[in-house]
Amino acid sequence: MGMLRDLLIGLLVVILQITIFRHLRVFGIEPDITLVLLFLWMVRYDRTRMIFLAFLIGFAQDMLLDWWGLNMFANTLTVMILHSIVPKKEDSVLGVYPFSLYLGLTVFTHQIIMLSLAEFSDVYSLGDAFFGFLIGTTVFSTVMGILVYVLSGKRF
Amino acid sequence: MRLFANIGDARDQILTAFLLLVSVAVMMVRSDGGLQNMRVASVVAISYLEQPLSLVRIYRQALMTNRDLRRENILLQDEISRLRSAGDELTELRAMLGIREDPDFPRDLIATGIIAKSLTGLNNSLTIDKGAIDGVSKGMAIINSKGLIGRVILVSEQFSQVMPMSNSLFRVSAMVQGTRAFGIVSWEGKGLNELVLNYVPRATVIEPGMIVETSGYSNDMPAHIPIGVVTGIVPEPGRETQRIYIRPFANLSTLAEGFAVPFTAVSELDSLNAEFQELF
Repeated sequence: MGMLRDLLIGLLVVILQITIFRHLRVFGIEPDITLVLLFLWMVRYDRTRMIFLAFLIGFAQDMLLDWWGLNMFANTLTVMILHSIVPKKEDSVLGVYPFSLYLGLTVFTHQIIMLSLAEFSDVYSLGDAFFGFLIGTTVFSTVMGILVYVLSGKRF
Repeated sequence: MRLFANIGDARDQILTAFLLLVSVAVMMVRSDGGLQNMRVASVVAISYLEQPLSLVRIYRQALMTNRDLRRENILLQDEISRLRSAGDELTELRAMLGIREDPDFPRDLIATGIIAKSLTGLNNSLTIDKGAIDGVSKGMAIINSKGLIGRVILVSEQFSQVMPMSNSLFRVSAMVQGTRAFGIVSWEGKGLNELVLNYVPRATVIEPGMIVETSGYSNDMPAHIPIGVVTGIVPEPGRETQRIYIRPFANLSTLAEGFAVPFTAVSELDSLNAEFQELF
């Protein structure tokens, strides 16, 4: 039941990302709030559950954005790499500084995997815009995540 | 306890490896066209999701477009009267020289609205509100009053997805007006306002300000659709060709409507080309 609820929340966030946040572009860079959700889940859930959730959320993103496989791969690998590093909820309430640090690391890891894979598979090519896109998305998504975290009163 | 932790680790690693393999398989199947039906379904789904929000953007863009079109209309009225007289003169001269008329540019354009845009630089695409029931088909060129926008790549009943010129996979045969210099226009991912025309010989003199248009040689869209204006020329080191940088006429960022251009490819040319390829 909990998994189903999380999947519905995830799908809602993916739809919000596609309909609203995808259009909040600054210098061609858009925030990715699905990564903020993945990070917040990583703080809460065990790794096995997170791997499933990350894969399924990636599938929803890929299906709706026609990026077949890229987000599925990047989400799953990001969770596998970072889950043991990210502090857990029972440890303590995360301050804004560690929150932004770990969220930034999550977004950066995801983006570098996804963009590298996109370049490697020659499906999409960013050329010289690779690093600009990588850094821009990391910073923008982290800022959006901090806003969500602070506005929610750090209740995650 | 340590044993259980290790088993848990191994389980997660196996699960991750399996899911990563599935992801790679999906990527490969996608490239082979195996997900065509699901891709069409996703275009429909995203179109329904974005349609309500696109109305706001379309309205705002429509106001700006309207203002631009009024201004352009005045200029075109003036130009059309001069072109009419030039056209008459041209017909007469053609008749005098015995030159056969070129096939007419298609007249039955299909008006479309752009209901979704993805111009992040990763996988740029547009979604239009016309599909198979409106006569749109895969491969059709999408244009607006300024020039070429892109090409239809996926079609559902009511919607179609367009690969804009600013997509790293887009290619179109083009020529520089007045030079008979032909090449291939593509996008290198350096912003929406820069395209590149490759394979033009160095011997051909190209100047900034020249107009680039479709050549019609690729047998997939009509000739003489304006693409953009030349902004720079760089000789390719070690090769006999030059790279020509182009600023496209159509502005994808402010785009809100366009036209699908019906075009019937000459099948005889395609089969001839296929026969040629089979020789080697």
